[in-house]
Amino acid sequence: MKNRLKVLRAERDWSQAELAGRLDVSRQAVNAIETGKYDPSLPLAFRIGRLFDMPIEEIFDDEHHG
Amino acid sequence: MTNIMVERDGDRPLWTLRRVTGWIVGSFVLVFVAGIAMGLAAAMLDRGTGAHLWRDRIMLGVPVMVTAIFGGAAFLAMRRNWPRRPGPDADPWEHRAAARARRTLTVWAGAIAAIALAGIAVPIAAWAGTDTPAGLILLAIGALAGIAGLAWGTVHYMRVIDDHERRANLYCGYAGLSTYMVLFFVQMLARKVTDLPRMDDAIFLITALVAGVTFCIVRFR
Repeated sequence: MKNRLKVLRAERDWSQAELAGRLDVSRQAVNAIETGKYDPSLPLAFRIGRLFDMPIEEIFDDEHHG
Repeated sequence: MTNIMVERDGDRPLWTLRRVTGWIVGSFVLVFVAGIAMGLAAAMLDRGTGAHLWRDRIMLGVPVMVTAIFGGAAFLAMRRNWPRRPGPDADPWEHRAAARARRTLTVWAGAIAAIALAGIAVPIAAWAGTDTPAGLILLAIGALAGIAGLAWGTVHYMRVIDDHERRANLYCGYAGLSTYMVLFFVQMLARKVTDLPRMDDAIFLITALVAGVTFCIVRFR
């Protein structure tokens, strides 16, 4: 699943470690999401949405849908 | 166009070099010490007969090395102040991240040390003989340490890890189970048509190796 996490992080001048700390996950988890190796769970996706103050569908793009 | 930033850390190159050097030197020392301990333990187990020397070395050497490497790694990490404690004026997320890393490290080190203690105590108990008080006490210590370590580690570990690490555990468990089942049935079939000896120790070690490597690939790549 494609996502805009890397761009959103860069806009706020956050490192992967800083974003991981804010989301309470490991830095490798952030890296795996950004590179598309891992799709976050629904609770984590909601935390990401709340952190960036955006709806989930504006961060994650389900390319196979529709 | 958005400028994608890279990781920031003022003194990262020097800090990374010192950390890597420390780990390499520390690892060599630990493996050397563990090797001596393994040899002494194997000689003790062997009782001078020369029988089962290599089997006993592996049996006792693996948990001794696991204990030494993980215990030493945790010691080095703490001595080098990792995970670094944020200062009093740090953001709340930095305190949460550091606390999370410390909790995970504690659970890992505690569970592995307990299980490795069981791995050391059980073969020594077998050597001492379960018909003696010392052997029975060692066997009880090993069994209790193993069960307590697994229970405590599992409960706390699953509470402190994130989704990504749970996924690594899922892959690790699946790979380990598949490896064990395949090797077990291959051995069973092979023993029906040949006079191949049982190789349960080798199957266990290969299963543990596959599971460990799978976990590391999914968790840390």
